[in-house]
Amino acid sequence: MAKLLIVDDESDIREFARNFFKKRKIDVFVASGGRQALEIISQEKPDLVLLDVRMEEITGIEVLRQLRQANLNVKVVMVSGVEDEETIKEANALGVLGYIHKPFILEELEKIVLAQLNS
Amino acid sequence: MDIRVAISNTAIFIAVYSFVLGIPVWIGFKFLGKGAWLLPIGLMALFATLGPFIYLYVQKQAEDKLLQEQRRYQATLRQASAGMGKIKDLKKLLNMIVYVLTHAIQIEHASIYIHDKEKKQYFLGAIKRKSGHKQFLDKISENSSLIRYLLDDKNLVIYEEFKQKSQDFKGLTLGQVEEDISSLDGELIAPIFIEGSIIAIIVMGKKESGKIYTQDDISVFGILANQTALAIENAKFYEDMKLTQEQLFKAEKMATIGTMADGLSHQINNRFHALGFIAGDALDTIHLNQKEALSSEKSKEVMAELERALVRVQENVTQGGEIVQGLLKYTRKGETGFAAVDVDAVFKAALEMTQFKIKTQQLKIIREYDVATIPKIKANFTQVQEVFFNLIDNGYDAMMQRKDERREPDYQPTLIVRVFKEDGYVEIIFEDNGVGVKDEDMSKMFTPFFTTKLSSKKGTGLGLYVIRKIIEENHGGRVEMVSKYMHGTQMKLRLPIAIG
Ligand SMILES: Nc1ncnc2c1ncn2[C@@H]1O[C@H](COP(=O)(O)OP(=O)(O)OP(=O)(O)O)[C@@H](O)[C@H]1O
Ligand SMILES: [Mg+2]
Repeated sequence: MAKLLIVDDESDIREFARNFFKKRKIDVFVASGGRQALEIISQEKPDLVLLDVRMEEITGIEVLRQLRQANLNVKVVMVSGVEDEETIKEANALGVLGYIHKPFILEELEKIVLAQLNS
Repeated sequence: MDIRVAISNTAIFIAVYSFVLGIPVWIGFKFLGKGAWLLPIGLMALFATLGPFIYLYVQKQAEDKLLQEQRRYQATLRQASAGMGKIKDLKKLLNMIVYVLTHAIQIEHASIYIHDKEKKQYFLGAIKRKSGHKQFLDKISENSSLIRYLLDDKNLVIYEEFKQKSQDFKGLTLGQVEEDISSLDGELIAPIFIEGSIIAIIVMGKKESGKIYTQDDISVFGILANQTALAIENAKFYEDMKLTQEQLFKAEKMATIGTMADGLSHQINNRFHALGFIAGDALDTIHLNQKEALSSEKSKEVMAELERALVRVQENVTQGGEIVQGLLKYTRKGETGFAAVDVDAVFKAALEMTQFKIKTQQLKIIREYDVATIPKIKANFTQVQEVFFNLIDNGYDAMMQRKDERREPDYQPTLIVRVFKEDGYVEIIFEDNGVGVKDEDMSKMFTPFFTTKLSSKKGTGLGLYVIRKIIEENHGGRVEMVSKYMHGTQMKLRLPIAIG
């Protein structure tokens, strides 16, 4: 089974995204913050990570940086809200598959996730 | 000089000199006969020397009697004009001028008209009427004959004297000017000049005694007019200052809203995002289960899922509403009055507002006060809320800066708030363990636009300036800042206790 990690500090996002992807025979993990995300990534080696940019504890960009430092070459899609150009450039430099801008509907996300997991 | 004074002076002069010269001659003829003139001449010399002194003395006594009343009101006017400069409120100043005039000179009425450049009118600023029933005008046009006459003549106009003028004045019909004066019921009209233009006009009615205005009156009004001009300018200057100050307050508020906008749009966006996920998953569940008839077991499961989704929808809607409410609380002008205000309630409201700008979860906030025992303060809720907001905001920035710069392993950003009663005041202290202030920056803290926050998003440098204005000028309290570099900062506020 493909493994998907959803990193978001909003509990509703974690809960309903997990429900949704579970129904698609995907093994879903969730993390509410950067530290937890790093732990799960190193243990579970997910096939795809959906990473929220703006989080309380450590930012998505910081998580990405630490991932790359630890040589964890996991596929990452950034979920961004109202971020500025600079943040986007920084993330690109660290190597991400792409961006999805909030708010978006689950069907869009489904397409992206399925495309990435099947490739 | 008053005509009565002139007459009495002449009478005194004649009396004194016929006495001085008459006595020696009379003595010479009566007692000593011809030839024995030595004594009378000696006496003459003596009296002639004394004469002027006697004359001056008697004259002064008489004059004093006559002028006593006039001197008294002139002294009052002088005193009043010296005090005028201290009044900052224009309306109050004008009221004081007309009050003093009517009472010191005992006239029927006095009024003062103030120039409004834009409307090209002089508007009635204050009026005091003791007697007489005539209507008053509420404005005088810039183009009236009276104003044009005053601009040219540049002097006080006394109605009685003016009526005797017969020749027309530079194309102005004096009759028209006279009409203007009489429609104001004015006995004396004093234009107040500043740099060639008339900024105000004082209109005075008849003296209640029926006497006419004298040259002495006029010279006193000359002084009064000068003082009035300065005082009015002064008061207007303060009003302008108040206006720019309000604009400054507003600028600070707008800047804060600017920095809040980022946090706000993030939060509102997150609500929509969550709603999208909840609805998407619920729809997905419906679609997946639509195709076949459901067992009662399965339909219960689906119903539970949908119920959960709708509960979360409601919750997110409520949160969204709260965000908007929070913003409104800040942007609304707020009540203007002062009331007995609960410090803890203000603190909570301020904290709620800060959520949109900073991450208060990163701070340990300790409220070291007993809500039940601290007295209420006499304050304007909205303004004090803004003060607390700025203090929390500054503390947060200082602590985050220390956290980022020092990276001390067990650093815990902590904000302590203390409230207690002291010397009949309520003392409120915000203490943080942030970066503190460098000694060389200490003196600039309350200066408008001083900021050490470089990032373009933060720092207008108006926070502390506005705090001081609100606390010290609006509330009659005090603000003090005590800080130690790399240790922390204490902001001490002192606010009056609400009575009753
Ligand atoms: N609690 C504090 N600890 C350390 N420094 C402070 C504290 N409060 C204020 N300062 C210093 O005083 C300066 C002026 O503060 P002020 O609140 O007037 O403006 P600002 O915070 O820079 O800008 P704004 O309030 O508009 O965001 C700050 O830039 C900071 O250097
Ligand atoms: Mg500030």
